[in-house]
Amino acid sequence: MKVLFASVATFALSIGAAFAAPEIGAPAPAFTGTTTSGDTVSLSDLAGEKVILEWTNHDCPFVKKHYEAGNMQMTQEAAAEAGYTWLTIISSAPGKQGHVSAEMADELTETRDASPTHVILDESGEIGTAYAAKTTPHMYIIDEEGTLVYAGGIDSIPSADKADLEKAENYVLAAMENIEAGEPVATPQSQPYGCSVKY
Amino acid sequence: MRSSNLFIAAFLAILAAVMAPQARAQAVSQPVETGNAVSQLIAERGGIAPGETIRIGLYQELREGWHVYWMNPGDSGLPLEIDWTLPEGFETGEIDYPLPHRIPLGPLVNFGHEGTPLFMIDLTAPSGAATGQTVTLTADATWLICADICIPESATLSLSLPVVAEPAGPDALGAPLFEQGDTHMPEQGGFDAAWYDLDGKPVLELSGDIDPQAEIFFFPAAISVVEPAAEQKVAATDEGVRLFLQPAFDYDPASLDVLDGVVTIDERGIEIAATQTEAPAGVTVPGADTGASTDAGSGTSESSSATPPAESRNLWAILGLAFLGGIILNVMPCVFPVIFIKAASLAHSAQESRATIVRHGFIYTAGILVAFLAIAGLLLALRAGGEQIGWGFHLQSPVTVAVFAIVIFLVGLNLAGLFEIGTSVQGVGTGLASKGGNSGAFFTGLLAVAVAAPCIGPFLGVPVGFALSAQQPAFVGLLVFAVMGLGLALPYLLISLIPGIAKALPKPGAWMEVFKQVLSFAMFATLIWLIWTLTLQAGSEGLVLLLIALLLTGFAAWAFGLSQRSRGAGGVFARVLALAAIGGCVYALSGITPQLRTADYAQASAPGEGDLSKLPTVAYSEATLEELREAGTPVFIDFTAAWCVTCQVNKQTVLTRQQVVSQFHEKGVVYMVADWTVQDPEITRALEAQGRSGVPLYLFYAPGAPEPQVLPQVLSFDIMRETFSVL
Repeated sequence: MKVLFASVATFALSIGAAFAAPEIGAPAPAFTGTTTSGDTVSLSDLAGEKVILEWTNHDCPFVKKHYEAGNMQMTQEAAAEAGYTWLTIISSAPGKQGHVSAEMADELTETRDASPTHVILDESGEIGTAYAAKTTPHMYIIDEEGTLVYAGGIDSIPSADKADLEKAENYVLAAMENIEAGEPVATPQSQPYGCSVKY
Repeated sequence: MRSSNLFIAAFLAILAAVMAPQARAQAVSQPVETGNAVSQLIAERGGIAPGETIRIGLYQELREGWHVYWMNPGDSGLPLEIDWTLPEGFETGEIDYPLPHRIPLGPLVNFGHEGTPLFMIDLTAPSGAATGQTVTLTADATWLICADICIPESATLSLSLPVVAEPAGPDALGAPLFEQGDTHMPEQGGFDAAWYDLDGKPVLELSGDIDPQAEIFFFPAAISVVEPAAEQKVAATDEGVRLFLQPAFDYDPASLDVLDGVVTIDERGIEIAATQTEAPAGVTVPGADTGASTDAGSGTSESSSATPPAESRNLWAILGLAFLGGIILNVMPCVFPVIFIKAASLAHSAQESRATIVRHGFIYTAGILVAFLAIAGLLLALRAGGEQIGWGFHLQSPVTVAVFAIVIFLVGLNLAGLFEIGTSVQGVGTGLASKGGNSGAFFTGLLAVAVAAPCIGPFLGVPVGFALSAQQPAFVGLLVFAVMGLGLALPYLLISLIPGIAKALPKPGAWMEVFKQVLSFAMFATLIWLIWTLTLQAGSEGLVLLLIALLLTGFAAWAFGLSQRSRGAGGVFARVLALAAIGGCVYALSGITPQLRTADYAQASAPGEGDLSKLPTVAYSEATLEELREAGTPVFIDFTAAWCVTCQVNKQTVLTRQQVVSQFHEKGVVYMVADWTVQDPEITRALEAQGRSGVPLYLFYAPGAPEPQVLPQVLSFDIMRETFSVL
């Protein structure tokens, strides 16, 4: 009976869970996710590593823009060279756009020639909520100390038009350069743009 | 429906454009259809004079359920962009947006427009423009249009406009649209607005005649300054109201001199430009942990605009549906077994006193409510503990099914006259569900819900899904179930409350015994269903154990009946025998374990199901569904369970019939079975994605459709034909 009341209480509490953005310069919210290979990855396992989080939904036109033009893959390769762990996170709920099985997620990685370290399936939206991920794409950079140093869009021009890529400033690449040079990130936060995350 | 509206809109617009040359004064562009919107350029006047400024606009007819975005789109989305190509010297101003609406998407909120928004733009002609010519204005417009998915659309629109010597009169087509559009534009001014920073958060002060109880919301014009989805607390002040806002990452009080945007107060919308001032002393955030502060000027009342009254209206609608659905449950196949029990007791009630009849009516209702609340409460608690289960979950356990089978068997044996329940051994019909009295009435109510209600009947899909969704406080969920229970109890309650009805029932007599014996066969028929369900859940080993338990139950009932009729040592011995048999029965039950994986249900049931064997079934999985939809294959999903009688009726009377099966073949529709006979988190999730928490649920995915079509809980040939007619 006690257990029952306890779970009812927990239930009541969880309803009011907030959707608040994590603070730049503060420790990045901890999370544990399941990868497409069925392994679990925790941010705490990645202590001492630089980490990039990418929220995605393969059917979203904004995600398509960056993948079809090779922009996301280019950013992933640059990050890999600079020693980053790249986690692509899918927070689409079952039945919503972008929700995929592990096999399908791996197939997408292969067909799009992408190179994330892992793809994390977050269909409960738990990790997305912890980071207040709003759009696909929505990018986050965590430094070696585990501090969140960038949150926002992948670049400076919010559009679904590939022609804008050339004119846009890639905020993720820019932040990686700042970090490499030991400087503070010049644009630590930007308005993310794209489709809403399909929680 | 949606697309036909769109076509009508497109047709009317085309018609208008075709007629334009003849009418000459009509300044509208050719409408362009882009899939989810029809767009055209319009002008308020039939022409423009040199040096004059007139209003032109982009008028859109959006597909139902789709929206475009305000200048600040909120958490996601993009605003309209127009790239103009204008004749020499002509100039356009900024886009004036109609009033935005809050469009919630899970935890996110967008600001946008639905229906037929008109985006207005000022057009100024150069003072030296030559009159008599017709100029062409070209707009390259791009916008993002979203339902739950988003599609970027664009169109190139050209508007021809005569340059006239004197200001032209209203344009026959454009002017009425502007007149209508003006009713959706924000009012200019009307409130003094100021803002200040309070502990790193912006606070907006509005002065004017504002009802603090109204639904008040501030739409900031700038992106990333105020969190779109955050609650805006409202407090009344002497001058008007005060809004407490949540800052977004770009909020910087040092550089933000003016906070501009639109304030909506119920249906009104007012444009404001709040200048920064010093924070007055004594202002505290309402609801914050500073209850001791009673300074003058702090909020006297507060309301929250993040929970619009629509929510509570919604709850009334849900409760209405639950009540209606509860009444209709009485004629669903699920509830048939209980109707037979109830019929036996009703047939008997004519001889009772009026007070007794009324009391039994209320006790029956109480039984129903207790059962609903107990099952729903347990379900909510288990779900809170992380279990992926839904309504009807208790019948997913074979042991529960076995217990129900035994209870139904006992009721059947009782009706058949093998034993009696109650004090009076002699006399006619002192059965559990008849004259047995208060406990009998209560028991019938319990049984009605426990065995029969797990199926979701018509109208109940939405309320049950709503009641069990994590967004609701638990008491709201329980309230919905209680109202549903009242609906279920209503017919019997009415029979007991309205004196005429019970009087009209035939007088009990010898025929009653025969009638009850006939009804006992209805119980045994129900038993067949429960045994079948258990076999699917626990396999042949479970079946043997249940049959042994039933044998022992029969023996115990017989021995108990014997003891009722005999006195002395013989009677005591018979009771001991009955107890021993019950013990054996419990032992047999404890051996029943679930055996079958869900996916086997379709195959396991196929041989006995006639035509279904000709229709290949595919077991439900998210991955398979994804693959089929990617390949553009139409998919029909049957969310079913062996214990759901409505599901079985649909299957036998519609889904497995030749005319439906042949349609599946002809149209190449894949028949996917999501079998929920035993617990399956994947299927529970799929049901929840549709806002449901129980079966039956029938979904049809047309090729390329982003969302499935939800079919009614009770299927018919017509429904199936109509559903497949889109192929």
